[in-house]
This record gives sequence, C-alpha cells and structure tokens, in this order.
Amino acid sequence: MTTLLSEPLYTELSHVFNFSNQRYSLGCIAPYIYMHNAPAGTFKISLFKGVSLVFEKEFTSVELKTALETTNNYAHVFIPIIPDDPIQLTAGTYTVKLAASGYTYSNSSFIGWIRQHENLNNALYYTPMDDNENPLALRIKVFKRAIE
Amino acid sequence: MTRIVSFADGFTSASVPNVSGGDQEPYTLDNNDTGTILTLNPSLYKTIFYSFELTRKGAVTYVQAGSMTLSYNGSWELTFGAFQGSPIIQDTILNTQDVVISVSGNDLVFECGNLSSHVESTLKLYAVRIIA
Repeated sequence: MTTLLSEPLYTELSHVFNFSNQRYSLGCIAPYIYMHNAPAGTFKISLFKGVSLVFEKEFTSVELKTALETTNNYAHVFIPIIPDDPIQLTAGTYTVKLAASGYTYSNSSFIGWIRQHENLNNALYYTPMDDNENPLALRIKVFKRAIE
Repeated sequence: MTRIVSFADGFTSASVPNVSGGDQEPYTLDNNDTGTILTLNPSLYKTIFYSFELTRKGAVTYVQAGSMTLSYNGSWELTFGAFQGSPIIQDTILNTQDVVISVSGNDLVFECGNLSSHVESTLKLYAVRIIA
C-alpha cells in the first residue's frame, strides 16, 4: 500500500528550484503526477527561468495511459517531460508550472501533483510546518559525459 | 487542499483508490437572505469543519468568527457543545436568531433570518468537505 499526498490541480501549480555555479544539459524534468480517473483536458508543464519561458510540453490522460501501457484510469508516476531542443540549465532560479486547458477539477476526476518531503531535487526556501507544506515532487535529469 | 491517496501496490489501478481530504466551499449570506439558505447532502459531506465570519458595516464594523465540526454517521451530529437544531451561531452574534442550523431528514440545513437589522451585514460560511 502506498500513501500519497496529492495537491489537486484547480488552475495552476508551481515549484521553484535553484541552480548555482553549474551548467547542465537538461535531459528531462519529471514531476510526480497523480492521475485520478483519467480527467479530460490537456495538461501543460512549463519551465521558466525567472519570467522567461525555457520550454513547455503538453500531455493528456490518454497519452499518459499509453506511455504507461495501461488501460487503468488511476496512476501515480514521475512523468518525464523532455524538451524538443537542447537546453542548457545555468545558474539561476527556475519555476516548473503545471496548468491545464479544457479541464475542470472534480472530486471524481482530477490531476494532482504529489508532495514529498524526501526529495533530493527539492531545495526548500521555507520550513514546512506539516506534510501539506512539503514541496511538490520533481526529478531533474541531466546529461553526463559518457563513461570512459 | 491536499488529498491523501491510499494506492494499492503498483503504479496504476483499475479501481478507485481511497481518497480523503477536504474542499473548502464558501457561501455568502446577504442581508435579505431568509429561509433555507444551504442544504448539505450527507452523500457529499461526511464530516465538515464549518467556520463562519460575520462582518457588520455602518456605525459598528467588526468581524466575528467561530468554527465547529459536524459529522454524519447515519444522522448529522453537531459537536462543539451544541445540539441538533440549536442556533449555534447566535451565541456569537448580537441580536440573536440570525442563523440556525437544523436537520431536516438526512440533510443538514442552514436557515437565515433577516440580517438587515444589523446594517449591511454579511455572513460567510465555509464548509470544508471531507470526502472519505
């Protein structure tokens, strides 16, 4: 049995993280998404540096189920959001946003972003007072040099 | 507002996981609202944390607030030192009998008297719906 703490998407959710003194080639960003009964609509993950859009991609519940090779309507997974063009992450503050179009939250069908308190990629800028304030879970994958 | 999802082993499920958590739904009762204002169906509300805020305008401007817990277990059970059908809120509002909470059948009912005597007062009710 897995217990998840999911923040439902109403209009927008966002998570802020910092890079400092490094340069990375971005492989993907992977938010930890909970799908409850395959809601209709198109969901968009956007990466901003400051106020500048770095890249964004969309997905639907149908595409998510296809990627998971399942017909089930309930799932929790780190969704890899892969940029179409090469992206270099440099020092600065980044924001990942989850938004939607053609989607309406309901208790019976929604998309959520899962909160975790033990996530190596989450740099906290505040002190969470309870689990509801844990950061929205996110994995950031970068390219490294091939093993020589 | 976060949801607690109890998911069976694995990353996908054909059946509905157990989901609990709350939705906050505000309701505003205005001066001229009278009679039955709000009815809460127990099929949607198992437990509600209900808070209220009364703002009066005019010569006297202040905010009064309070909260209580109501749970449904076949019938609505009012906690916080109150009884079913008792005008709970009136104890914190001057010029009583403004808002009454009662049970009609299986539904929890909020009834409002005329607030106009209190000079442009509005009462906000926040019902937090607990799903599970």
